This record gives sequence, C-alpha cells and structure tokens, in this order.
Amino acid sequence: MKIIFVVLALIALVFLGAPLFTIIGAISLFGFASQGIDTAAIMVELYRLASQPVLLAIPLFTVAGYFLAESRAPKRIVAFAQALIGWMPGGLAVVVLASCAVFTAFTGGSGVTIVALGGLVFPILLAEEYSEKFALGLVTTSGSLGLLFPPSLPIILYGTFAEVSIDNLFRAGIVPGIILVLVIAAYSIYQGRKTNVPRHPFEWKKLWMAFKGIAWEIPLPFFIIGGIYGGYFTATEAAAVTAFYVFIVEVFIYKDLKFTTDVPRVMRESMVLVGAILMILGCAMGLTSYLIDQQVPQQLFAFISQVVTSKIVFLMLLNVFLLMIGMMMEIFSAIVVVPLIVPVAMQYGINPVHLGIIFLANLEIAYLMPPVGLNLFMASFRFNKPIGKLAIATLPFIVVLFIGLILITYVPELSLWLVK
Amino acid sequence: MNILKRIDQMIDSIVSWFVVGVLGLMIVMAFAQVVLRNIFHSNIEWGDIFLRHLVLWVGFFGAIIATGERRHLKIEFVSKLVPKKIHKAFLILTNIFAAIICYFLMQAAIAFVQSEIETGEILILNLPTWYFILVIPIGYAVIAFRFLVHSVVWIWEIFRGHWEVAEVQHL
Repeated sequence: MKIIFVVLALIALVFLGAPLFTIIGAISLFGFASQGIDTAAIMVELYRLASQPVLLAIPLFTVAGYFLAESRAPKRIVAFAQALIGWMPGGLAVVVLASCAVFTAFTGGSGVTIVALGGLVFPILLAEEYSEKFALGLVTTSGSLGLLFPPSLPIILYGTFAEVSIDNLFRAGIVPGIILVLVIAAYSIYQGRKTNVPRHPFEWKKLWMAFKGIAWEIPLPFFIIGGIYGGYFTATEAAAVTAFYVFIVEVFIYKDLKFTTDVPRVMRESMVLVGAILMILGCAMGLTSYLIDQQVPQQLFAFISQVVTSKIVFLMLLNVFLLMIGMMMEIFSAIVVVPLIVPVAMQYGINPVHLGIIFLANLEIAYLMPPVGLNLFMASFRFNKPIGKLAIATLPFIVVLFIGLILITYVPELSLWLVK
Repeated sequence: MNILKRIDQMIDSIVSWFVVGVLGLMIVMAFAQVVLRNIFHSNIEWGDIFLRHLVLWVGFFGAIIATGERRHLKIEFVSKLVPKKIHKAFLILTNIFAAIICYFLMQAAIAFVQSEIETGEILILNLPTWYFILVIPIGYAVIAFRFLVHSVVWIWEIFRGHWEVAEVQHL
C-alpha cells in the first residue's frame, strides 16, 4: 500500500515537471534504504563513472559542439552543401538534411540543431518556393537526423550504460544513420520534382568559394570518423583533439567568437548541459545497481517471455516501448531504461550493439511524434507555429522514416557488418 | 529575501568562473595528453585520472548553474499546457521535492566521503581520493540550497501578488 502511494506520487511529480534526476535519485534512495543498505552505495556507483575513460569525452564533445553552434559554422556548412549538392532536383532539401545531420552529430542534442540551423535554412527553403508545410516538416525532422553518426553524445552514453564498446557503436551507427538520411532525401527529391522548385546550375567557382570559406572545418568529420574507424584514436582522444581544434579555429582563425566574452559564455552554457546529464547519469548508476541487485531484468524477462516467445514480436514491442519513452523525454533521460532492456534483449538473442542502434533510431523518430515529441516543441518555439500544424507537416516524414526504422530493426546486419 | 537572492547570484557567478577555468584546463590538458602519447610516446601518468575527476567537478558545477536556470532535464509538456498560476505552483512543489532529495543525496555523499577519508587511499601524487570527491556532497548541498531558495522566492512573490514566472535568459 505504502509502495503504491510512493509510486503514484513519483509519477505525478514526473509530469508536474520535477527534474528527472531527483525522481531517479528518490527511487534509488528509497530502494537502498528499504533493503537496509547504506545509501552511500549510490555514491559508490556514481563515482564508478570516474573510472570510465569515455567520461572525459562528454564535456569535450559538448563544448566543441557549442563552440561550433555559436560561431558562423552553420552558415558555412549550409553554403558549402548548397554549392556541392544544391544543383540536384530537390537539392536544397538535401542540403538541409546533410547540414543538419552533420551538425546534430557534432552537437549531440537535437534541440540545438533546430534552433541554430533551422532558423537559418527555413527562410531559404521558403524563398526557393518549397511549400511552408514541406519546409516545416523537413526542418523539424532534420533536427534529430545524425544522432547515429560519430561523435554523437547519445551513442557514448548508451555505450557507458550498456557496457558496450563505444568505438564499435560508432562503427555500427554509420550505415543505419545513412539509411535514415537517404530515405528522407529520397522523399525530398520526389517532392522537389513534383512541385518543380527552381534548380541552380552547378558552378565550380561557387564550390571553390564555399570550400575556401569552410576549409578549416572540413577536416573535422573526416578526422573524427577516420580516426575512430581507422583505430588511430579512441573516442576520448578524438574528443580532446576536436575540442582544442574547434576552439583554436573559431576563436583565432575565423574569429567568430571573442576570447574574453563569447568563449566564457559558451563554455559555461555547454557545462549546464553536461551538469544536467551528469546528474541523471549519477543517480541512474545507483538505480541500475539496485535493479540488478534485485534481479529486476531477470524478472522482467520471465514475465515478458510468458507472453512473447519470438524475437520478431519482442522487437515490435521494443519499438513501441521506445517510441513512447522517446516521445516523453529527451535522449539523455531516456538512457535510464538501457540497463533494463539490454539484459532482456540479450535473452532474445539481440546483439547489444545492434540494440543501441535500434534504441537511438527509435528515439530519433519519437522526437517527431505528436502530441509531445521534443522536436515539435522546439520547432514550434523557434518558428512560432502551433504544434498541430507542425505535427501535420511532419507526418509524411515520420511515415518515410518508419521504413528506415523497420530496415534497421529487423536487418541486424546493417548495423553489425562494419563491426565484425 | 534580497539577501537570499544575492547569495544565490553570488554562488552563480563564482561557480560560473570556476567552470570556465576548469573546463579551459581540461581542454588544454586533454589535448596535450593526446599529443604527448601519439607523438612523443609518453604522457603525464596521472593525467587521465585527474581529467576524469575534473569531469565530476565541472559536471556538478554545471548542475548548480542548471538549477538556477531551471534547466535540469525534465518532462515539460504538462507544465507548458497549464495556466501560469498553476505552472508556478508546480514549480514550487517540484523544487521543494528536489531540495529534499538533494539533501538526502548530500547525506549519502557525506557518508561516502567519510568512508574514503577513513581508508585514506591515495589517488594521484600523494593526494588522497577524498579531495577529489568532495565536490559530490558540496555539489548536492548547493543544489539543494538553490532549489530551496528559488521556491522560497516564488512563494514570497505569490504573497506579493506576482504570479508570473520570470523567463530565464540564456544564449
């Protein structure tokens, strides 16, 4: 009886908007105390974070992403992509997709992309005679594309919690990530043809100018992806080099950020996100150890396996479950469910690396789902449009993304062939 | 009330400068480690452990700032749909709850630090581990304090007839 009351109270607090780490912390405190274990055990678990080398990658990639977002890098990325692929039918839409995907990968969170890049490309899309509905849908969708590409923070967090090699996850994410971009690109090209948007001829001179503009930033993705895939770098080393390089380039070469004013402001700002993530991670470490101690994953599996016997049905349920989770919370909080689903999924013979990709792909799409997907809120806020209108505009994109999601979920080889 | 607000703002600016300093050190040192390791095949032996502990420091300091700006991760769609007055009531309630939980987390952290002091383990360079983890109880304590101050300020505002929730400015 008492437990039911506590559970209901906590659920109510979640929806009233209590910081999620306090909810997770409350459950951990309550759980350990009810077992007669000293709650200091939660802190022992939190401190285990400091033994993971990849912990350092989190603040370094975050600050690098914030430096890029606050500089004029988004403008340079769009200009370059426009010169490179803008001549194709539906080219501008593909430009938006590609720029957003790269940008999301670097900044980790999806909200940032819509705010930083969406505002930049939305008016251009309208000026090129794309319909407002298509433009809104595209920009909202693009806000989370790219979560599967290195150096995305959610991948790093998944690896930390599922105890899977992050380098392997980065390898696994690339093909599924490209698939999601491709299905949207195909739809955009189809739309571009149908509505006959004007096309621009390809010009070497324009490409050269744009290339000169972005020359200092161009090496970054190659460097990170090449370094990690080639085995020259660990994710953490890549983060260290990226943060330092981006700082030098944006502050001293492009001079987009002023050393005395912008730099401290952006550094502080980025650490607010890191702090929010660390709070969740810390308490979630405690909760995880409690749940494992209580053999909750085993019980969960025993329960589910009575109803679900086939892998396919389990994957379908998993998709539904993750879409619901992802609709309500952003990726950094959703990571809490990882320690629960990994052991259960492994019983069904699902590779934890593949599961990570499924997890992120689902959340990426869940961000767009009405009524409460995060991207809808961000876009509504950024473009001052009602949620309902955005939801309708995003709908065709969700349908198309589902095709990609089904491929990614039910064809594990897509994720695993680069890993082996 | 104004004293409370002023202390709160003071905490914010001290912590902000600290975050910038520590993060700056981390960026430079992490890069130096990579260069030393890959080019000179030697590195600062204690560097990586030290850097990982600094993550705890900037993380907790970032969380202190996040508390002041109401930017902890949370589910927001309900509070976005309700009228302003109710939103403020939600904020007060959830903040008090958060303050209580952070107080208990602080106690857990104090117990953890005490046990580390007793074992007296050395982390790096003759420095005991507990120096580095002291940020955990301090962090939770300051976060609890800020949650509480903000809810007290909001309650006080309501008594003076202000139902608006001040927007937080950032970037």
